[in-house]
Amino acid sequence: MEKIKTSSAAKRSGENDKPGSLPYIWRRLKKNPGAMLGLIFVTVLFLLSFVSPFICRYDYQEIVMKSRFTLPCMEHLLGCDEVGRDILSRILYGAKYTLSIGVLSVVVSCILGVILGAVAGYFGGKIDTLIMRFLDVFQAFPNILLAIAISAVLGAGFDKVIYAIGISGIPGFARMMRANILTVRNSEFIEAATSINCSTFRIIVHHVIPNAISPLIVQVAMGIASAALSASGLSFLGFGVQAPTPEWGAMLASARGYMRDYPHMVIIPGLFIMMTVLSFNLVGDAIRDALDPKLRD
Amino acid sequence: MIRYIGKRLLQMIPILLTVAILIFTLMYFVPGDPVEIMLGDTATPEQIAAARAKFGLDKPYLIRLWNYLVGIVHLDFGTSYLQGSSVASELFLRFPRTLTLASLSILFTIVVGIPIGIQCAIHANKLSDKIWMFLTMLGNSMPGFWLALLLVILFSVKLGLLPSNGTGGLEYYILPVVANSIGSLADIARQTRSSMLEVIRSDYVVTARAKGLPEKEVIWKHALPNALIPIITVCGSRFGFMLGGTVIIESVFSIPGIGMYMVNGINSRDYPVVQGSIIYIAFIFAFIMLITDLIYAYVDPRIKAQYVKSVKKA
Repeated sequence: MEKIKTSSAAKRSGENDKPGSLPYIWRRLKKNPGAMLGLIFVTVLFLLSFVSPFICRYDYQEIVMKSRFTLPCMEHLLGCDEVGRDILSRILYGAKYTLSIGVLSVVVSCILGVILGAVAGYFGGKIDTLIMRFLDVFQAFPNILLAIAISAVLGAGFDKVIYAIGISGIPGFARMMRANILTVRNSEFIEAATSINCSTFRIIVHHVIPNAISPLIVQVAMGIASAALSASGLSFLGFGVQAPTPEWGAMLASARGYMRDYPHMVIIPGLFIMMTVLSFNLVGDAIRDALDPKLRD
Repeated sequence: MIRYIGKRLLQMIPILLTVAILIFTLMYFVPGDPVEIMLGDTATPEQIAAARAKFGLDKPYLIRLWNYLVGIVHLDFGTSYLQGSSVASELFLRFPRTLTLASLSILFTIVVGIPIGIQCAIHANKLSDKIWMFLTMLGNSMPGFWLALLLVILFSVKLGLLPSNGTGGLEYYILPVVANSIGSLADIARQTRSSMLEVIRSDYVVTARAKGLPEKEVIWKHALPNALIPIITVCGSRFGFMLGGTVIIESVFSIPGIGMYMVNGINSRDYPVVQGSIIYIAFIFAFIMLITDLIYAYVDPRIKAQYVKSVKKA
C-alpha cells in the first residue's frame, strides 16, 4: 500500500518521479518517437485483428478460385493467395496469433523464470545451486533448438507453441531475476522487513520483486519480440500453428512454393512479422535507455 | 591453463549427461508408437512385437536409458527407425555442412558487424550512427528465413546470379550465410558500439591520443582490445545460436546438414534421429562455450592472471 501511495504522490509532483519507477519510464517513453510508433503499431494491429471480420471486404477463409494469385491492386490491397483468399484479411485476422503467442509465451517464461530466479537468489545455498545447475542444462541448447525439441514432443498447435517457446525462455528470466535479487537482498530495507517479522513470502513478493522489476520490463519487451520471431520460425517449419490458420509464419510456409512467380505472397507476411518484432524491440530499447542512469535527462 | 581446461571439461560431464537424459526422457513420452507408424496399418501384432524387440523398445525405461547413454559414450546414437542406418554415421557425414554454414556465418558476422559497431561508436549520435542503429534494429527484427526467401527471389530467380538450393562450391553458401547472419550481425554491431562507447572515454584512450598516436591506432590497438570481452561473449553464444538456427536456413536452402536431418526426423517421427541430432548439437554448443571462455583468457590478461594464481595456490 505504501508503495502505491508514494508513487501516486510522485505522479502529482510530476517530473520528480523516482528514476526507474513506472511513471518515470512512461514519461521517458513518451519522448521517444520510435517507441511510441512501435506501441501504436502493435495496438492498432491488435485492435484490427479483432474487428477485421467486420470491416474487411473479404472473409479471411473465403476461397475464390478465379482471383488466385491476384497481385496487390485496388480490389485486393495486398493481393490474393494460391486459392484466392484475400491476403489483407488473412494478415489482419492472423495478427492475433503472432501477438498472442508472443505475449503469452513471455507470460509463461516470465512467471516460471521469476519464481525460480527469486527463490534461487533469495535462499541461496543448496537450493540456488540446484536451480542454477538445472537451468544450465536448459541453456546447453540453442534457444530455438529447445523450442523445436519441445514442440516435437508436444506436437503442433497454437497452445503448444506457447509452451515450447515459453519454456525455452525460462532460463533467461530466471538468471536476470536471480542477479537482481542478489543485489537487493542485502540492502537495508530487507533487513528492516526481516526485523519486523515479515514472512519470507511477503518479503519476496512485496519488497524484493518490486525493487527488481524495472530490468524485468526490458526483458519482457525484448522477450516478446524474440518469441514472436521464434514462433514464426516454428510455424514456418510446420511445427507451430498450421495452415490453413492464417498465422504469418504458416502463411510464409505455404507461400514458399509459389514465390518464384508470385513474390508478393512471401514479401507481405514477412514484412508484418518484421514490423511487429521491430515494434517490440523499439519499445524494449527505449525502456532500457530510460532505465540507464548514464542517459538520464 | 591446461589445468583450467581440464577442470572445465570435467564440469561439462554432468551437464551433458543431464542433457542426454532430458532429451531421451522427453522423446520417451512422445505420444504414438513409432513401430506402429513405421510398419503401417497392415502389420500384425507379431510383426509389431518383433520390431519392438529389434529396436529394444520392449524394455523398461531405465534399461533403455542406460543402453542409450552407454551407446553415446561409444559414439553410437542408435539406429534410425525409417532408414535402418546408424544415426551417428549420418550425423558425422552431415556435420561438416552445418559447421561450414555456421562458421562462415559467424565469420561474416564478425568481419562486417564489428567494423559497423566501431564506426557507430566513433560517430556516436551523429546521423550515420542513427541510420546504422536503425538498420541493425531492423536486421534484428527480421526473420532469417524470410530474408532467405527474399534473397532467393532477388539473386536466384530475378537475377539468376546465385544457386537457390543444394550444396557445392562457395557460391552455394553465400545466400544461406547472409540470411543466417543477419540477426547476429545486428546484435554484434550493437554490442560493439556500446562497449566501444564505454572504453572510448577512458583515461588510457585520452593518453593515447595525447601522446599523438594516429586515430586509427588509438581505436584498433588501444580501445578495441579492451572492448572485446563482451563482444566475444555475444559471438560465442551467437555461434551456438547459429548452429541451432541453421535448422530453418538448411531447410530453406535444402542443405543436407544436421538441421534438415532433424526436421525430417520430426516429420516422420523418427525419434532416434531427432534425439541424436539434438544431443549432438547440444554437445557441440557446450564445446563452443568452453572455447569462448578460453578466448577470454587469451584476450584479457586479468583473467589469465587469475588462472596463474589459482594454479600456484593449488
